[in-house]
Amino acid sequence: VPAGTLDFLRNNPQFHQLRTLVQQNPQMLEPIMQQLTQGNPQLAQMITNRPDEFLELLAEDEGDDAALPPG
Amino acid sequence: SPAPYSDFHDYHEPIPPPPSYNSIRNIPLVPTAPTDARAIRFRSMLHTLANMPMNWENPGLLDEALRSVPLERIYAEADEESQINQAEAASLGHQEPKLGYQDCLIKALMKWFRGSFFSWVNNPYCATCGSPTQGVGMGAPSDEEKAHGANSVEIYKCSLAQCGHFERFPRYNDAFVLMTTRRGRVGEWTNCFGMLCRAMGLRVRWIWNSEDHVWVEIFSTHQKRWVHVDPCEGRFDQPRLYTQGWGRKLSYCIAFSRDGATDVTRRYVRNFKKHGGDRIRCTEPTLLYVIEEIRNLRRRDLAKPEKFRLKGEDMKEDKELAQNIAIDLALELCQSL
Ligand SMILES: [Zn+2]
Repeated sequence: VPAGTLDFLRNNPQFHQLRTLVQQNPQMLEPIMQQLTQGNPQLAQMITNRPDEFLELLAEDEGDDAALPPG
Repeated sequence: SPAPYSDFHDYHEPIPPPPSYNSIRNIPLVPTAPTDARAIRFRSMLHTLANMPMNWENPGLLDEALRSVPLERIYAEADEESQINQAEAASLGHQEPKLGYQDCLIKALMKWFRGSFFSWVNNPYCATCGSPTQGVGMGAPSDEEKAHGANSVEIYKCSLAQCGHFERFPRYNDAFVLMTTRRGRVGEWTNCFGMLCRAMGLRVRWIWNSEDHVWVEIFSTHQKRWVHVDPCEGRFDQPRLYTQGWGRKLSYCIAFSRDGATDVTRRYVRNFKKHGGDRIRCTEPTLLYVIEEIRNLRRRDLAKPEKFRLKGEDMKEDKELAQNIAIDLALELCQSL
C-alpha cells in the first residue's frame, strides 16, 4: 500500500464495486471495514486516518460502476 | 442433449441494451410489471419454474419415497460426523461446531444418494446386450412414459451390429418416478435429491440457474441460513464452485420453494464484474415484481404471523447476500494491493 493519499483506490476495480455496494446499502461499510482490518491492517489504518477522503471516494460517481444484482 | 429445464431457454431473442445500474443508485427499486414481450415471456417462465418444487408436496408419496432410504445407516453416519465436529470445536475452544447434526444429515444423505442410489447417464447402455449406444435423436414419449411425466425421450441405437436394439431414455420430470428409474443427468439428480431432502423433513429450495445448471439449497437450522448443496457434484456449502471454481459466468440463480422465490445470484456470484453474466431477460424492477408475485402466490393462504415471519427471513437473507459480496470484495481488494 503506497503511503499518503487514498488516490490509488480510485482505479481499483474491486473498490469500484464496493463503492456501488455501499452507495446502494450504506450499512455494508461496517462488514467491509471489518474485512479490511483483518486482511490489510495498513490499508484499514490509512482509511481510519483519512475518513473524509475515504467518504469522498465512496461518494464519487464515475459512471462505469460494476453491475451488482440489486436486492 | 437437453435437460428438462432446458425447455425454458430463450437464447435466440434479440438482445436489448443492458440496464443502467447507475440509474438505480440510492433509489430503492420499485417492482414494475413486465411490459415488453421478452419480459412477459421471462415472467411466465419463472412462474413455470416455480412450480417445480411444488411437485414434491405430496405427503403420501414423500413417506413412500423415504422407505427406499437406508435411514438408520444415514442417521448413524450423520451422528458420527456431528460428534467429530463437536470434538473439533471443543478442542479449538469454540462454542459452536461448524456443522450441526442436520448439516451432517444432509451430507450423509447426499453421500448415499451419489454413491449407492442414483446413477449418471450420458448414453444409456443397451438393455438387451449391455453394449454402449449411440444417440440417434429424440422420440415421442409413449403413453406410459407420458403418464409418468416424461416430456421427451432420447433414442439410442446399440453399437453392436447384430443386436441393433433401440434404447429409450425418457426424461422424467416426476421426482417420485425417478425413485424407480434412479438415473439421469443434472435435472433428474437435483429433482430426486431435492424431493428426498423434503421427505426427510428439511426446508428445501430448488435453484434454477440460467446457464443450464440446477442444484438445491437447504435451510440449516444450526447455521440459521440457506446452504448451497449440489448433489451432482457432491458439494455442501461451496457457493463459489461455479464462478471461482469452474470460471463460469452466471446471470441468474433463482431459488424456488413452497414458501416463495428469491433471487440468490449474489450467493453464487461474489464479484459481478468478473463472474456476472448479462442480466437482460427483463429489467431489475421487473424481476423484483415477478419474485414478489410468486411469493404472494405461495403465501396467499398462510396466517398473518407466518407471512410476517417469512418476510423477516427475506429481509435477513437480503442483508446476508449483500454482506457476502461486501466481504468477498473487501478480501479481493486487500489481495489486489
Ligand atoms: Zn445391444
